[in-house]
Amino acid sequence: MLNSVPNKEKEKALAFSFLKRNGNVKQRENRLTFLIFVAPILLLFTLLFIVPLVQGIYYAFTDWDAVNPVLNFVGLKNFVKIFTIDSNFIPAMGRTFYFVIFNVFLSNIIGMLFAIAFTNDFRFNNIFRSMIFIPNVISMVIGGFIWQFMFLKVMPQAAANNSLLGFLDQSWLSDSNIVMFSIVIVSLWQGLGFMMTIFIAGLLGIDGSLIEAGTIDGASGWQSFWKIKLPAVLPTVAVGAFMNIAGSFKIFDTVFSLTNGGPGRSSEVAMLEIYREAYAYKNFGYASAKAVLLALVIIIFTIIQLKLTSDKEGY
Amino acid sequence: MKKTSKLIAAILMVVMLFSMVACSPAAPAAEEPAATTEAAVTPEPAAEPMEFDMIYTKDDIATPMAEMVAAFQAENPNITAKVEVLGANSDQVIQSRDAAGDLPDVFPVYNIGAGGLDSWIKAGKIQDISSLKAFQALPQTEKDQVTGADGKAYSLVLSTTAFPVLYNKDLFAKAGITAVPRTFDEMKVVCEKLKAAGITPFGVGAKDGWTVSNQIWRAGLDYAFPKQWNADRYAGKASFMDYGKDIFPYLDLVLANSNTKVLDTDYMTQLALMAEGKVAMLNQGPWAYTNIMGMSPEMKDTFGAFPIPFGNTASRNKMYTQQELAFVVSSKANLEAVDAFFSFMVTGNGKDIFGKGFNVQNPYGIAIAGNPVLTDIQSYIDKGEYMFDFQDNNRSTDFFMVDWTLMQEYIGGKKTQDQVLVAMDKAWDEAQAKMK
Repeated sequence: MLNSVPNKEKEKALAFSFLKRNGNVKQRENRLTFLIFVAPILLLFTLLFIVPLVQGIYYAFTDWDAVNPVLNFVGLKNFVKIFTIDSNFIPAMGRTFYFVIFNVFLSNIIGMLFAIAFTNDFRFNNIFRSMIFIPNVISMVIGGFIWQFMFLKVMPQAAANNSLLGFLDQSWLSDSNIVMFSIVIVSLWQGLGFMMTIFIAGLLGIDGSLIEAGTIDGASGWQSFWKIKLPAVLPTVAVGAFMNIAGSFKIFDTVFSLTNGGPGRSSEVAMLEIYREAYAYKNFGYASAKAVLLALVIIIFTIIQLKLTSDKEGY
Repeated sequence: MKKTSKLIAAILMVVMLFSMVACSPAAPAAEEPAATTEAAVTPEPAAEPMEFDMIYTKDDIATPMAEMVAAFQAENPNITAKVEVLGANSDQVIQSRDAAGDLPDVFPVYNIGAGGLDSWIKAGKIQDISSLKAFQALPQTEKDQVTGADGKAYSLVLSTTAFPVLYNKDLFAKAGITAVPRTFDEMKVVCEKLKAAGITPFGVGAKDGWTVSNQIWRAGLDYAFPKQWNADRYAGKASFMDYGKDIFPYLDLVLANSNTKVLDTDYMTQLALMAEGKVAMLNQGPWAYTNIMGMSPEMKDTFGAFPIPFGNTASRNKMYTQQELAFVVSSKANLEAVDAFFSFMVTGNGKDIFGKGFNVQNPYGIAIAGNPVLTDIQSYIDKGEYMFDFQDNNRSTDFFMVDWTLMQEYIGGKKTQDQVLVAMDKAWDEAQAKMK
C-alpha cells in the first residue's frame, strides 16, 4: 500500500512519456495521435471558454457600453466605482452571502439526512428518492412560477382552512424581512435532490466491513454514523459543498423568476444586480468588473472550503 | 490524490470564472465608428433597386404589418422591405446582431430621449431622421421632444400610448357616480361612493413594480415637474424634493383604496380583479384593456378612461401620453428606402391599413377603429388636454429601475416620502457619476 504512490507516479510518467520532446518513432507517432485527438476540443475550449474569459476580464477594465465599438481602457476605475459610488452592489453581495450561508448549510445537512434515510432498506425507497430529485430537473423559471403559486395562493388558502397551518399565511414574497428566506426554501426544494444523490453515492460506497467491525465493537447507530460513515463520506461532502457554494453565489434564475429582486431591492442578489447593470443599464464594462469581483470572491471561498475539507479528509 | 484534487479544483475554478465573466455578448470588432450620416443618406435614383430590413416589437400588429409591406411593395417594386416582428426579446436580438456587425436598418427603441440614444449616437450607428416625410408629418410637440440642440432627430414615433385611469362604467353607475372625476377631491368622493356600494375602488399590482412606477409615478413627474426641471437637475440646481411631494397624495389615495396585499399582486392578477368586476379602477394603459378582453370579452363596452387627477386644478390633470413604438435608422441604411416605407404608412396609401389594421393611437391624425378606452383617450388628445412625456425620456437609462424599487419600498413601508425623494436624488447623482 505504501508503495502505491511511487508506482502511480511511475505509471503516470510512462503513460505520458510520449509527450516528451524526444523519443523513438513509436512515441512520436503516439504524440501525433494524441494531438490529433486533443486538438479539436482544445481549439473549441480555447474559442468558447478561454477567449471569452480573457475578453470578459478585459472588459472589466474598459467603459464598454455594448454599442460603441470604441473601447476606452479605464484601468481600475470600474473597481474603484464599485466601492465608492455604487450603492447597490455591496448590499447585493450581502444578500448573496446570506443566501449562500443558509443554502449551503441547510442543503448539506438536510441532503445528508435524506441520504441516510433513503440508504436504509424500506419499501418505495426509490419512489421517495425520485420525488425529491425531480425538482432538480425542472427549470427554475418554471419552479419560480410554481412557488409563486404556492406562496401567494396555496399557503394562504391552507392557513385559512386549517388554524394549525396559520403560520403559513405570511407575505412570503412581499415582506423584505423574509423574502430571502423564501428564496432559500425554493432553492432547497430544487437542490436537495442533487445533494442527496451525491451523499447516497458516498454512503453506498463505504466498505461494509468497516461498519460491521464497528457494530461488533459495540458502536451505536449514532457512533457508527459519526465515527465511520461521516469521515468516509467526507470527500463526497467536500465535492457537494464545493459545487453548492459556487452555485449559491451565482443564484440568479430562482430570484429572477420568483421576485425579480423585489420588493424594492430586498432580494436583489449579486448576479441579478450584475445582469441589470449589463443588460438594463448597458454598462457592460462596469458589469464585467462586478462579475470579476464576484468570481474572485467565489474563488477565495472555494479555496478556503477546499483547504478546510481536504485537511479533514486527511490526505 | 491531493494534487489531483488541486488540479480538479483549478479546472473548476477556471470554468467558474468563465461563467462569471463571460456573460457579455461577443466583442465588437475594434473598428472605427460607422460612416457618418451624410455618406449613408446619399439617395439613389428611384428606379434603382433598394432594400432595407426592419424589426419591430408589437406582435399584435403582425398580420396588418404583413399586409402593409405587401401593399408597399406593390406600389414600390424597386424597394425590397424585409420586416420582421420579434416580440419582447428584440433588445437582445439587436445587441447580438450589432455585435455580429449586422445591425438592422430600422429597429425599435424604448427610450427615445438623449439618455436612451446617447450610446448609439456617439457610436455613429444611427442617423438623423429629421428629413423623413413621416417625421415632418408629426405635430411640433412630438418633433421638439426628440430634436436636439443641433437640430438633429434620431427617433421616429410610429404609435403612442397613454397612462390613464381605466374604469368600469357599470360599477360607477352602480355606485351612483355619473361623471368621471377630473380633480383629486372628486376622486376622493368617487372612492367613498364606491366603497359605500361595497366595491373596492382600485386594483393595484405592485409586485410588478412598473405598474406603479410607470403608471402613476412616471405620469406624475410630467404632471408635477416643470419642463425645465430635468435640465436643472442635470446642472445640479434642482431636486426631486422640489415637486415630488405633489405626486404622493394621489398615490396614497390609490393605495388606501385598493385591494389587499398589493405587493403580492402582480399585473395579471390586477387585471383579473378588473375583469371579474372586483375593482372599479386601474392605473393602466390601453394594452390592459386588450388583456382584460382576453379574460372577459363580454365586458367590451364596460370600460372607459380618463386622465389621472393628481391635483385639484382640472386643466392641469391632462392625459399622459408617450411613444409606444419608436424607431431609429441605422447609419448604413438606405434612408430613401426607409423614407418611402414610413411615408407610405402614415401619409400615403398605407394609411387605411394603419388605421383599420394597426388600430393604434398615433400622432399622425390617422383615424382608428378604436375601442372604448382608446376612444376616450383620443377624445382628450383631440381637445388638446394631453401631455407628451418629456421627463422620463431624458433621464439616464437605469432610472426606471430606481423608480420601480423605490415605489415598492414606499408601499412596503420601508421608506417615507422624504426618503424616497432623497434616494431618487442620490440615484440620479450616482448614475451621472457612473457615466464619468
